Amino acid sequence: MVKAHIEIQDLNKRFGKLYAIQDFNLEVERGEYVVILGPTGAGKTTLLKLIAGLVKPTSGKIYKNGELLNNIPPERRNMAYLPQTSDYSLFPYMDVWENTVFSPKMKGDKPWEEIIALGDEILDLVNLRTRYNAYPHELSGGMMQRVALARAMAADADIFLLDEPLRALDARLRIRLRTEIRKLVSDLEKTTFHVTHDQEEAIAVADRVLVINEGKIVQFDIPEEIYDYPSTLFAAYFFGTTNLVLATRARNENNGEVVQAGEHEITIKPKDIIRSFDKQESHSDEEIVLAVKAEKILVTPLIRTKPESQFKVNIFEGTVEQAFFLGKWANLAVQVEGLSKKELHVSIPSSDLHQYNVGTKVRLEIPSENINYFFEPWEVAKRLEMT
Amino acid sequence: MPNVQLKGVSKYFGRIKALEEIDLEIKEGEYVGILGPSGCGKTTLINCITGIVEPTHGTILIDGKNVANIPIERRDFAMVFQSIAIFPHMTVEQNAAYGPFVRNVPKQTRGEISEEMLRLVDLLEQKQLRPRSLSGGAKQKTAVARALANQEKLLILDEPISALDYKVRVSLRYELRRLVKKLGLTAVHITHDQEEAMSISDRLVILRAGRIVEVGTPQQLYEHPHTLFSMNFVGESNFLEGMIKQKRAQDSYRIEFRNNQYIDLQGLKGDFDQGESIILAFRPETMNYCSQEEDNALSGTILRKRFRGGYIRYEVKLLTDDLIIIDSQTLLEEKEKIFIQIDPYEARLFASPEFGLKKVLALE
Repeated sequence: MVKAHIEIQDLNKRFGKLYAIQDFNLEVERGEYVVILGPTGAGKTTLLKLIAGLVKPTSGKIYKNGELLNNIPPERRNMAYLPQTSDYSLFPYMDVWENTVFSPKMKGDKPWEEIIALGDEILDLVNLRTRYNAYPHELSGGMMQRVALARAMAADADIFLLDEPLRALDARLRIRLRTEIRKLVSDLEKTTFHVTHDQEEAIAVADRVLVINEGKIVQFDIPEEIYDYPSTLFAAYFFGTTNLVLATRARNENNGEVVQAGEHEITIKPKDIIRSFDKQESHSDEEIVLAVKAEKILVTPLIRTKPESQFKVNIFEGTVEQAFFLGKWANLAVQVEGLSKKELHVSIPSSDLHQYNVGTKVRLEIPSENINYFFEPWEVAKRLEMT
Repeated sequence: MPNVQLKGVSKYFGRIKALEEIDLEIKEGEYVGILGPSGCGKTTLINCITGIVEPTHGTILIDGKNVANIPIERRDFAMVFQSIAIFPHMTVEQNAAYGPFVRNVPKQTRGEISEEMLRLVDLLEQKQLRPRSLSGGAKQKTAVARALANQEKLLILDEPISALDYKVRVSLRYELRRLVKKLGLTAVHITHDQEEAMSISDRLVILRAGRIVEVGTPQQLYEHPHTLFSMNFVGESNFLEGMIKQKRAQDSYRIEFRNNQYIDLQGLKGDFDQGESIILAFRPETMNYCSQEEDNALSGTILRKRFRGGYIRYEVKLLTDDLIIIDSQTLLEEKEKIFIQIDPYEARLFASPEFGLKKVLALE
């Protein structure tokens, strides 16, 4: 049997009474690009440091290729850890070249010609060969970032631990570099853990996303699965622009269930067998939270003359309160009279934006299959939405 | 409501030209976003408006009045910073009432003002808390309430939400704009985040290396940018290098790309001559494509597809050897051959830049 590159078993880390990491179990394959995603204080950095060996677990085990790492010091784990500092911990008195070849030079197990060839090759990869004699303070944030990566690559580590590697950079540069980093480490078949709080970044680069919150694993899956089939309300809310609608369970109907959201009824359907309802009883008046992504609400300008088909469910009339242009997309904030939520956010291609002004009356349709739902108290949703 | 005018404003730090010849008018009640990469002069620009630095050349008028000799403490504006600057030993309420307190406003009025400001930013329930027990978003909302409590009409926001988590950032940008419009303020908002700038501003100013590249509404700059830099900086784009093979009419061209690939396009803006080197630029969500052979299309193969949330991103290798991206909600397969038609009303034609495309688009 092929062993997982990194395996974590029943891992806990406690600081005093507080669990920074609680009951972590996961396996990561060689060459996988894992993004660790969560809000500030979720435990992301602690997890990286546990893997790197910079922090000792309170209990639990970490294996690499089946070998127990717990008693192996950080410098013998063959991992490259890029901490979350603005200077990327480069040596300020060394130029790009010296920073890059630092590790092989220190190890001293390769002939000098080989180190030169390796350094050249890596600087080519990160596109910095022409700047080989620049010092860190002469470089932009993005370039320093790449030198740090180059140094890690030259060290020949087989696991990369990147803590918010793009944090200090401009938004536009971040978009470009995230793909570049991903490509670089994947070409070299490195196993990577990349920490971020930016869900868009996570979706854009991850093989699998490890969503964590308050020290616990929320979901560990491929981006598509987390986005379309979130296993918890937290994951549903965290990805994309998500409307949380508070409702109470009302009654069962044919192949769905009707819930009451303010004055409106909404029909929800189980997405598949596994996620189907608890058939035994419909707990009437039980609180339920519906989660609908902004692009999964269908919107059209309201045409009065057209009668609605009686078979249609989940149709609402609303008024555009605000319209935001976002580039590729535009976002409409639509007020629906009598709904338990003050406004729904609806995402449309920006080429359709001209049809909607503030005050435009619209028809909204939320297909049942586009609704994720969670049997959670409303309080949980309210807490999530509090900024 | 104040307006702000900058006329030929330059600021030099020794030999470094932080700002050069800035002409800009910010109208009353307008929400203006200043967008640019690190080091483009964004902060120097607002420092000139607030009086933190003196411009080397040029004039700044606020409400038509030259402010050259007015010191910072006598210029009327409210300011919010990226490093959330609220007093840690004061409650949310005391923070919000700080400005009126310093100006010796009577206690009762002070209370009323802070109450109103906290209601506006939706923090009334937390008014007794101290900053350390607040989330990042709530802290910054406290800072906004405190800035607004002086009831100045000009609001300067220096990367106000950049330090916060993504989710919080998105919700705060909507709240900020709502607030500014509700109170009828004039706002100048600095950011390096394109999406934030587009969603929040009435007009956007793109700065690069101390100069204004372009000014326009977010939609103008996204859909009809006048420069290659904006085309790349405000949202992602594809750029194909080519040449005008044949000019048939004023706006009708045959464009040739590498490997003898060519297309005919009619309706493109701009006047180019036969034989001229050009760049054809288009957004990843704007082209039409299909898997059947089409006339007048660029053909390519899908190398990779990636789920992106509300859409799928395809990386496509064209027969021209160019690598382009397509964003679409339609499901296509990897290795599939596709034919891409460029929409001339969505695409832009630019003259090939003298020092190369890379240099013109550079972000750092």
